[in-house]
Amino acid sequence: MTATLWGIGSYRVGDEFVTFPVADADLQRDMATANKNLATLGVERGARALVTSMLAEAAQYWPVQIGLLMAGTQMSCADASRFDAFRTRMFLRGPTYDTAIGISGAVLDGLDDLDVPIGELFSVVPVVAARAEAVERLRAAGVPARLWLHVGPTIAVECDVGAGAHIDADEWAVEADSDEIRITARNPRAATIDAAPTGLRATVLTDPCACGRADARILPGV
Amino acid sequence: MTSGGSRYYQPELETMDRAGIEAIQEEKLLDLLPYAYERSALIRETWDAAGVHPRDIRTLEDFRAGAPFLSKDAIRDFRDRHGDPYGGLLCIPESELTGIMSTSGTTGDPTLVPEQWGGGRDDRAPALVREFYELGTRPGDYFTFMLFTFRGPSFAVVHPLGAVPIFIDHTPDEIARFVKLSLEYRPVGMYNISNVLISELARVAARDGIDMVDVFSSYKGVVHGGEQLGVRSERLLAEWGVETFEHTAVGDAAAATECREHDGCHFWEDGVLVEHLDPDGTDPVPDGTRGELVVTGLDDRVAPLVRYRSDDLVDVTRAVCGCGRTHGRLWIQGRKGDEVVVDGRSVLPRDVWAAVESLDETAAGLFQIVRSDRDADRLRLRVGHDGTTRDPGALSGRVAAAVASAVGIEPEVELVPDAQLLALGPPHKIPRVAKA
Repeated sequence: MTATLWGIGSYRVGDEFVTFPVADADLQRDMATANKNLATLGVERGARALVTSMLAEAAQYWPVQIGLLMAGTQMSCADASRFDAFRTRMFLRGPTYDTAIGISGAVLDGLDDLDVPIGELFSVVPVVAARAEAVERLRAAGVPARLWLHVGPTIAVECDVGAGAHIDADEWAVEADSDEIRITARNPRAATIDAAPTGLRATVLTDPCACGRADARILPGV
Repeated sequence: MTSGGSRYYQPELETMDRAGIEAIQEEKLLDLLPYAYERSALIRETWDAAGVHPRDIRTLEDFRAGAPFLSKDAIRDFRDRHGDPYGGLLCIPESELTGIMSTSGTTGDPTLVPEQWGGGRDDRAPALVREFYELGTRPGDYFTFMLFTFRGPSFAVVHPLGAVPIFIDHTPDEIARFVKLSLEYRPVGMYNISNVLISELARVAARDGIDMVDVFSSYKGVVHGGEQLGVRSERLLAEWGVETFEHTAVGDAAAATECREHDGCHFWEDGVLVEHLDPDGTDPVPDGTRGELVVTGLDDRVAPLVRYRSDDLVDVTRAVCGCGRTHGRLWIQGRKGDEVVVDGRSVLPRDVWAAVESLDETAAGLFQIVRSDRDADRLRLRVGHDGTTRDPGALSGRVAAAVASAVGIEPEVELVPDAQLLALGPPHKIPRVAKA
């Protein structure tokens, strides 16, 4: 059984981590999801992208990194931690980036520690996709950040309409249960993910989005 | 590719004789030099200034006798003079890069590292596959990756071995999860452990009554790198029944790791040409003596380092290891930038480490050498303590006495809280040298 496994991923629900096995076949489908998310961000061949993530998030971010490579982009990586914020600063003050992905609250805290004005730093990046805890801070600093939303084992992303984060409907179903998002895998996976709690307080929107993506959107904090 | 029941992943390559290794090196080197000279602005500038051309180099001996050196300072200088973020090393059009990564930045400002995934390398085993095979990793095994960075597929090295990586962040906050996953999946290997993690493991074990012998019972080996393990860390790991394998970078061009003989870190000479030279000159120094590590990356076609002076101080041997492997081995001693010379006596962090750890209040081994230049009138140390002392003056005196006993120099000791030093570093270590 384990010979077909790609790795053991995890995601956080509140203060707890949920661990889940990822099969090679799961990874292939996660790469397709990542490609949709990158297309939603407008990532194109020849573009340059900065990805901030942590190793524990490899199951969610390795498909993104592979997707960027397959899309013909140039990628840089920094950790989504307070300590490593200096690396995000270094990259964004050096080469020109078209997209910054996965910016976290910890990175913004670290930039604050370094007295880096985040509005100025990110103003040179046309598309900034930030996690839920960071997106409003960036917007308050004048950065029109898109929501890059961790939803259990997967990631949803906001289009330029800015009305919630699209989740890949080919792979995942979501429902709000007492305002907490629960997630179900639509296809067989190595892990059983059936109405799994995510710890995410949000609303699910199913009305059509002006961007053309038909899948549901998740609007946190409602 | 693999050798069935043997300890070698690539037996022919790992045990080939010296003549075979040097034949591979010479062939690769003579292919690399004209390539790099034509494409790398810094290498061309350096070689032209030295009056040397790749056509002058026909053998490894020619190279060792006459090739000019690169250094980190030269790369930074080129970067600043020309506004070239790659320091003049890039050998392919920037548009063909798939990644722009960076060095750690622990010894200065990070420098950009251009990458082209899937290109610029031959079919040799990627770094760490041979090492993790030696450690005992086999199909179906689980392997814990507890790293402080996620910059590319470092975890993928266990996939060719048929093993499954488990991903955990390298931070004390993840200890509970490390324990849980170790008991659940029973991994055979771990990359990477550090003094910081070991201290937290000990604290959690004492607090929660966790049996670390059980936690580590499935591990055939645990790799550590980044900085040496302290005496206390080694003692704790021994109590928990953990066999550790030291791992180190080879001058930004490769990596080296101990085998089960624990007699130096193997560097794979089919991929890197290692020289071991006088730190203040250009002559080779004998095996078993402290010299500077100088490297040439033989497979890198993106931004090759050619005769790069790493500033790392090492001992080297090319004697055949007890494991039967014929590739060279090294022992990291420290960095030139970490060295302070007091009254003609060289002192590196590892020289004072055990002395600092020997006192209960400073057992965490958190300290820095404080210096402005390599040569100093006195040895100055900033030492972390756990806050339990009621007499800091007496503690300073005891630390000074312990260090003086170890290195023969009476240091000047400044005590600071452990937390103050921990706040300076990445999750797995602290800077061991501070500017005065």
